[in-house]
Amino acid sequence: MIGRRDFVKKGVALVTLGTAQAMVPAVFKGAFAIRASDADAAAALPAKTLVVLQLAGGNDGLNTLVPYRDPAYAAARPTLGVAAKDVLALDEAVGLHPKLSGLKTLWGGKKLAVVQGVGYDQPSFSHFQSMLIWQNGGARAAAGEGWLSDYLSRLESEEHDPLHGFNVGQFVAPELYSTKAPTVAAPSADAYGFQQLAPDAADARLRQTALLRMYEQFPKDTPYAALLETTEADAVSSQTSLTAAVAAHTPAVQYPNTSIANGLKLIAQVVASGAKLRVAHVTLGGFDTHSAQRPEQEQLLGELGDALAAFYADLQALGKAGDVLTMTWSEFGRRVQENASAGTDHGTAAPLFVIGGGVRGGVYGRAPSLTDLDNGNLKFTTDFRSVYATLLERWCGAPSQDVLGARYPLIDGLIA
Amino acid sequence: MGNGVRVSRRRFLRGATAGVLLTAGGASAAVVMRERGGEARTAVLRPGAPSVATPAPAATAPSTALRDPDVRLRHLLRRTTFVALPADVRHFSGQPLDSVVDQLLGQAAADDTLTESALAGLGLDLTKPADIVSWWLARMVLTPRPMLERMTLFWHGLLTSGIAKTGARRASLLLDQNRLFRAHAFDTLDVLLKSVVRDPAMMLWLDLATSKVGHANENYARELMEMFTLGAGNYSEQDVRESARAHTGYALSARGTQFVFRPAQHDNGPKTFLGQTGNLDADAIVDIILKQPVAAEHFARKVFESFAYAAPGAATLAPIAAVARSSGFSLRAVMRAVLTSDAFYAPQAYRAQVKSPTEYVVGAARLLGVQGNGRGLAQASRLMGQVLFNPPDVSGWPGGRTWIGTSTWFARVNFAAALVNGGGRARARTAQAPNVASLFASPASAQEAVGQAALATVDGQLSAPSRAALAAYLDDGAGFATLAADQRDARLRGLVALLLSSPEYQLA
Repeated sequence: MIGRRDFVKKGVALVTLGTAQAMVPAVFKGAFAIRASDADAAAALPAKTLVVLQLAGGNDGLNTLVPYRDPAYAAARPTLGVAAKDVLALDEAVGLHPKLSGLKTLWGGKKLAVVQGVGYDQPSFSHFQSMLIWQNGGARAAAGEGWLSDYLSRLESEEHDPLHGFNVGQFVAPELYSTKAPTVAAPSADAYGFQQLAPDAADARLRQTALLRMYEQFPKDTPYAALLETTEADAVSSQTSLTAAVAAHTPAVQYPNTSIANGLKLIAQVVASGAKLRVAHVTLGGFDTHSAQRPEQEQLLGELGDALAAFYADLQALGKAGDVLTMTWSEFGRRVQENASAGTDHGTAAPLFVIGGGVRGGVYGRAPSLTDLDNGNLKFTTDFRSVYATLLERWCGAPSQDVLGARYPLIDGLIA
Repeated sequence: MGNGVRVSRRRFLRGATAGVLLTAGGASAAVVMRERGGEARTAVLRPGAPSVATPAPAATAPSTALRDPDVRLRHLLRRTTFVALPADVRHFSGQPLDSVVDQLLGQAAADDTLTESALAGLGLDLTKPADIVSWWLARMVLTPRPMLERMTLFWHGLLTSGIAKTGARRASLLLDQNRLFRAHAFDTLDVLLKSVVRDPAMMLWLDLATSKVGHANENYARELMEMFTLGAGNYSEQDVRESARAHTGYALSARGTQFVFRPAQHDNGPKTFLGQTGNLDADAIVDIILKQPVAAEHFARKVFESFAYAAPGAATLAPIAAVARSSGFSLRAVMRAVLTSDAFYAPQAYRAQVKSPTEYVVGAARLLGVQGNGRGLAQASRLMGQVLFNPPDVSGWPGGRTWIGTSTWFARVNFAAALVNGGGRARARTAQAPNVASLFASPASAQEAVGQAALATVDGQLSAPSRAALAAYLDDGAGFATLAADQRDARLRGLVALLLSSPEYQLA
């Protein structure tokens, strides 16, 4: 086994020994060779991938999973309500928004689970506070870590792989923050990497060598030293892996050309490459619909459902549908009563989706009452940390108690 | 507050109205809007954005660098003017720092007509979202009063608004807001707050424009307290609702470009807000908020964290908060307190911040004298994760560690190379060539060249092994001293690109 620090050190040591021409690729070939030869470590790792799909801005849960038979719903949503006839019914009580037809297909295959009324006690109505609570799982805020940081650090301590955690986009998601976890973030494989560092190729190689040396030599006891050093190392190695992954896998299905679909496609390509991707994060934003909600949310839900359907079909064609599980989340749902701007204000509990071949499809948890409200807001029925605990323990094979600060009841049957 | 406030607000409103550029719309604008729309949707509330300041990784051996007066001056200039320009270092060298601070604060009064005419000649279409970003970045590079731009950037981060909500067709509203922030950059917080509540971009951004009696929209009322003035936990949900009622009737004209007060839509009932009851309006809400003891600490923290370092202790903030209180929340006074405080030059302040993409690209362009139309800088900054006028969410940009990821790191390295090489994405059509030679004084050896470039870029604070790596780069082959002039020039460019890409340079 090779730890991250060792990896970084050894990688850099190889740089200093190598010749200018073959240097940078050799570092990572060398490191990968060491890792690949360690069959025991490879076998000990779980081969499951968790995709965290954030719906940023506070998605209106009531118009996502619609309680279409509840008269209180129609009363609270005179202009925004989804008509019962349009709903894609899942059972006698709830149905999907019609724009989520992609998810209805997965429901038919029993690969879609819905957990109702997910939230937490004493909810924050601030995007940032509430996002932070969801991201750190309630117990990791002080450490500046997220609910998945501990899992990633654990994997990292067994072997280094810059793609254990992968963020679609320019930024690392706070769920994955850790001084030990990877920092790989790429909006796409295109233009990810060094461009022309110098007009002359030999000069460019020299510059790259010197650049890596400077990161190696950056004093370790200065602010941000670990972050800068690992970022540089992971950037160089992940660029090779990502480019190869994208070149190697042509999806079996046509993905829509939306940012969320392109993001999921990139994740599928990484999965297809055989990289040890354990946690992927991708975001669809724009759900903060205080005004003129209908067209905005319909567009977003359509993009979401279609992208998830294509992603699942692609994974299925790869024979990987059972190895990848996707969970959606949003920092809160929205107020039951629509507002005067044809929108909805910040609310509380909302349903979330869990999708994959390893999921037992169905509706989980109890639907919150639309009449027994707390200041106009839904009372949550399932703590979001129960969902996290279930995924950590039953899917990732990782402990949950320390990360979440307590033992939360697992959701029986959610993971097949 | 009274008169002074009203006068300056009126002055602003007049100026802003004059500044509104009527858009002709058209096909190209629609394309921009569609492209921007797709991007903006994913940008609004991006993954992350923790509300609390992300603390710098716990650490560290205290740096002794700031004991050196030269480093202190460079640190001050870097934090307030994007970069410690060699010419500025020479100019201020040997002067007491208090005096330097006063001169920097006085910069706002400097004549800037040359910048205005230069900007007008850049061929930018200020009705287009992409071009207003370029316009501001070009301005930051061109201006002889960079601290004013840095303060405007501070306000844009605190009282933020974004194109994602105003819509691409009304991009010029953000330019109006930008002019407001520049005109009042060193003004008092209450003036800013009472102006911004009437600012069309803000009114759209936080849904004030559609808030009516009986159906008060809470978005602005909440962020006014959470983000702008008090911080979460210092008010109740009831206070949010009551403040929202006080903010009803603050509306936009039919064309949606100007503030109008609509009495019929204003809730004239009594409201109880933070313990005070009355027929409160938006200005009364601001007055009550700024009387809360925590408001001064909050303001002091926002300024301190933006210019010094994250998560300062209570004892560090207390004297700055006292200045905020005694000065009536004057940003000029609070800035002076921060920049002359011991904490600002304390060991933990050195390289304690990650440069934002804006600071990074503007600083590098100023250092090398690359003056262009800003489009290259805008493109580079976007790849580094920051699009001005399009913040990820209402808390602005979280900064700190969030700027550093593999993708954004590549973007920084690639920008530095393109800028120094005088080509690539950083080179806009009208850009001048980078003046690399200005950083050097006839270096006779690789070591001398490294020393000169390191002084100009990283305060000369560079480890011996890093110096050796850079000297090895210069000496590769037959040795730096033997290189022909063009090769020597290429290597010196490489040296500067490497320093701009170095871990040291990523930190401010």
